[in-house]
Amino acid sequence: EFRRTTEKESMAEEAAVALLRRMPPAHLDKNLRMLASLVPDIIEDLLQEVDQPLKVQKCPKTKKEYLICDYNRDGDSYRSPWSNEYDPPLEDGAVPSDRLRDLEKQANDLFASYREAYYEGGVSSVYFWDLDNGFACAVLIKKEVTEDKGVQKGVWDSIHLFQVNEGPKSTYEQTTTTILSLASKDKQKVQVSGSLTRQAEAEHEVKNVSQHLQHIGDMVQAMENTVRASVDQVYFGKAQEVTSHLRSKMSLDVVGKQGDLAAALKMQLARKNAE
Amino acid sequence: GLQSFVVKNNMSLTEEQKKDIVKHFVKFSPAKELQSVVKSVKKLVGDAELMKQVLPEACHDHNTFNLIAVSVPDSERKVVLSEHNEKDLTHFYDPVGGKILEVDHEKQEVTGVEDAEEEDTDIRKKMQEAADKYLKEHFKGGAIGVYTTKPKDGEEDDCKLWSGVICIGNEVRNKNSCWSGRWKSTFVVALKSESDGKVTGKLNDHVHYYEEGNIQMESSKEHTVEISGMKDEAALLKKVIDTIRKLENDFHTEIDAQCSGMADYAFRSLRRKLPITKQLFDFGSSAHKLAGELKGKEK
Repeated sequence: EFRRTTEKESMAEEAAVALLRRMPPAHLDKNLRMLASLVPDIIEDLLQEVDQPLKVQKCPKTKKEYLICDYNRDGDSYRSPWSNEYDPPLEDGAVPSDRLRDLEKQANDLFASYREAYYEGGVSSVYFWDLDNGFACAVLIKKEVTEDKGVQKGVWDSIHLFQVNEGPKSTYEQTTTTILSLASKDKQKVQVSGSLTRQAEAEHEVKNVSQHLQHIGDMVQAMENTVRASVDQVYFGKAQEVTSHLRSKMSLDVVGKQGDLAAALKMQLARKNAE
Repeated sequence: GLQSFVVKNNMSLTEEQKKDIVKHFVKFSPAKELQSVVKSVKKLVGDAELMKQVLPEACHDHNTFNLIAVSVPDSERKVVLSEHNEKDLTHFYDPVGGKILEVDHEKQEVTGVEDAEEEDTDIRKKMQEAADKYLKEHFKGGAIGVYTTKPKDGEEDDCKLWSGVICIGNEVRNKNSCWSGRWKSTFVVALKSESDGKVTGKLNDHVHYYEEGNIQMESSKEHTVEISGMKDEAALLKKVIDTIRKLENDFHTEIDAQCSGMADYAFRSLRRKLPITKQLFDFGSSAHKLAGELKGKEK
């Protein structure tokens, strides 16, 4: 069912995205529900544009856990990457082509090992779907920890989207959104949450279709390690920095006097050097 | 998905429900982003008449909830908007200037000034002087309001000398660096006598960073401190300010400490820097291995 978006709907969607970028990330679920009732016509498109923390479901056939998102959804059903079947069952739900399904099976096993190596737990899922000139895939990872070492709750979600154009040289366009949420309750409540999105591109000669997995895997790893390295600054450093612009722990009187002293000393030294 | 759920349950909203949604989004606008949020909400609601009806109240609620400071015309001073100095939706008492300020809540500006009937009191003036000095020492910008309040029923004895609220509000925003922040704290002060009193503080710090997405930090704390054995009124008022200083410094220090702590935690419990092998995960050999297995199956 293809329905052309009207200009009015486009504007509303743009406004919704802009609004959600200002609202507390911790309220995202509630805010999406409010938007669904306020502007129901745009909610389908909006859900595709806005990244939400991933939800976990259990495959009824294999009993293994998998992650649900828009990329394995058809109507109100979700496709398990383990069984390739929909839950609740669908007569003819969208599935990847045979060659992509093979790649998808390999990918889920491969990324399960990757996930174990870095996250030591958590859940991962990979979904492929066909495109005209190649394929797209989503690599998803979720890790959640509760009540451990003074942290009330910590959640890490990685959502990697790839668009691969196949040819003598295949191009890979990557968009990765990392959603992090940490809340502590020790002596006072501190909560940090939100998402950041980055992109990368690569080009490789591909002689054998499973080489795609190596390239996608390398890009996932490189991006996650870069993001993780900047998490400290982006999530926590920024919070401390902005707070220091709001308030000074040390009396500004003292800071001012220190500044005056430093300036006076500088002047004295300059005079001395001139002599 | 959500849309089919909404349509199935015929969830079309009443005017009141739409207004509640508007008020919710406006209330949670980050520091100095109110006008941007209002702009987005107007486009989403698509009903100018409804917005005209709900915006003054929505913005009022935002401003008093967040202790927004407005500039007093022809003056360097700023006045904190709070429920404690509010006369009605758009009028607020400025005890320092002895005026009633008329406020445009959407613009966060003063649009009119009238003389106030109430008279200031000595003790409130002294508290204000000490509070102003404290603000200058710890905040670049922002405002501090000292508002006399009526004691709650049954608590009159605890406030024989003075009951009031000290509100601090500060907002900063750097558009180029894509961040904004808000500090708001309220201290309910009950002075029983020249030697005893109680300070109950509610503190809140909120940061929004949106360069590559939407990241927000919020910390809050509530704490009561009893004061006793002060030798005179001057010592008591000084002690109230010292108590506020300590509450805010402890709160501020804890934010810094927890931010550092959580960064460590994220690395150790959520995702490692590298696998335990200290080597990158090798997608190459694994992929080849699986390709080989697949080829084997095809034979």
